[in-house]
Amino acid sequence: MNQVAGNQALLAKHLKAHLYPYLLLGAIVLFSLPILWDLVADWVRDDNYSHGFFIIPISIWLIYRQRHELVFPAKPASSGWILFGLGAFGLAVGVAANEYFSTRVALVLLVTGLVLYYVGKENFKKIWFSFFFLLFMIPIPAVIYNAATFPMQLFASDITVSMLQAIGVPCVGKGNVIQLPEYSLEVLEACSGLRSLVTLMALAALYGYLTLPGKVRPVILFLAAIPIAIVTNIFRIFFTAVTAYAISTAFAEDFMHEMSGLLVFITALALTLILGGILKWRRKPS
Amino acid sequence: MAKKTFLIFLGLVIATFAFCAVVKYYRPDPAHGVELSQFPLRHGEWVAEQLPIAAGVVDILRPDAIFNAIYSNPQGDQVDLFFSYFAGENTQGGVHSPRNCMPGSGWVILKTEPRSIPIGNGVIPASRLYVKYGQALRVVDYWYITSHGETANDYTLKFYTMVSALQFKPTDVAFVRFVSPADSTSLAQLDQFEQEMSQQVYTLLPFDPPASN
Repeated sequence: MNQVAGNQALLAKHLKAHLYPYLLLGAIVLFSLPILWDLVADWVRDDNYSHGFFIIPISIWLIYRQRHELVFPAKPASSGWILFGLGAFGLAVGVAANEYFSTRVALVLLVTGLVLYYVGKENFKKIWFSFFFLLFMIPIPAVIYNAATFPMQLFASDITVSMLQAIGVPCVGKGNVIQLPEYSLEVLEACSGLRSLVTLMALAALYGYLTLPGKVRPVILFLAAIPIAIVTNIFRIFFTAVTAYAISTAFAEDFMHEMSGLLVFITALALTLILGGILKWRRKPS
Repeated sequence: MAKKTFLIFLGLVIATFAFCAVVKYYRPDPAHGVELSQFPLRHGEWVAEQLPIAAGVVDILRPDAIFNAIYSNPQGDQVDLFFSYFAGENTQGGVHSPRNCMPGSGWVILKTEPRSIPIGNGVIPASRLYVKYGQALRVVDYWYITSHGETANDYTLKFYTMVSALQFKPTDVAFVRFVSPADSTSLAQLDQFEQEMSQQVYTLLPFDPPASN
């Protein structure tokens, strides 16, 4: 009981000390509810962004775990006003132009600007990643996403066809459509870009930030998400095709398609951990 | 944080979101009730057979209205006409560029060129793709329609819909595509067919055809 009472007292003290910024954040969240609601709807609808649900809790946890490193009272950072102003302007233009991506990015900028002003530059250097990480919850416009990832998807399909032919599965590849005997794979995704790329980039960014020393290695791991995404997509298509050929098309369509997201995630996680482990390794001085 | 600073921040937050609310309130409703079942399946000597659209494709595009038919004439020429319409409030799907869909389906894009399609007193700024699948050669003429105007460029389309919204016009979008064999006879037929059928497309969709400047 004493522990609980003590925690409550600490929380009350904390809220009282930082009342104004919390009130402002509360007001922003309250006014942003329609924007956030649309964002949640996108996470529900689009499998490529279902990781969005985890982003805000992880960002909050990242700040919480560093709470003891933050020094208050802090000198307000005037650059916070600039970010806040850009966010406010972007939000107004984004809503007026009915452009969801700009609106959502502007909302992140608005919150970031407010926090930067309040906690000051020195404190913000310790928690900047939490705000950068928020960007991963925002779906990229299809026109940009597809233009960037479509060539990768075509490459993944080509490699998969070669792999299938190498193990004796008769197939013909036409773009992203892989024709197996009595089954056509990926037809419904023929004009889609690479799946799960943003999820993998978020994963790599978080893992690199939490575990890798320096600045270069986390960036290497982050960029490595692109080849990892290609490899995991090859893995997904390959397994679905082999299942369709060796077991049944119905099994491939139902079970494998449902499981493919999990398979991609597990494979990507394993590859990210392996690469992260390699990047962490340092030769001990002799 | 000083009380004065807090009040300035709060004022800016309220002003920003109030502006957003006003803009949303005054945004025009998208044009509802686009009914494509009235689209003519017979035009002169051309007769159409409507083509079914795979459920999966509809699931990805999620259009508010969609039409796909292949028109044939007695000489054996064929033109595939596809168009789709997306109301401004439709955030679940969207147009897909043939530059993605065609290669994704196995078609190889050999060449791209701009194409001007005369319509009434104006001109449609379309794009023409020369594509190949095995031995089959086709031309694909396509363009997007917005309240701000026509374009065949994906990024310009995005810009036009934003400009439409800023001008308090509907942010509806339509996509029109004609596909024909690439031989000279078919192309000559396509030119005439495109001009006439484009007029029909604009008749049903809630957009004005481009006017001459």
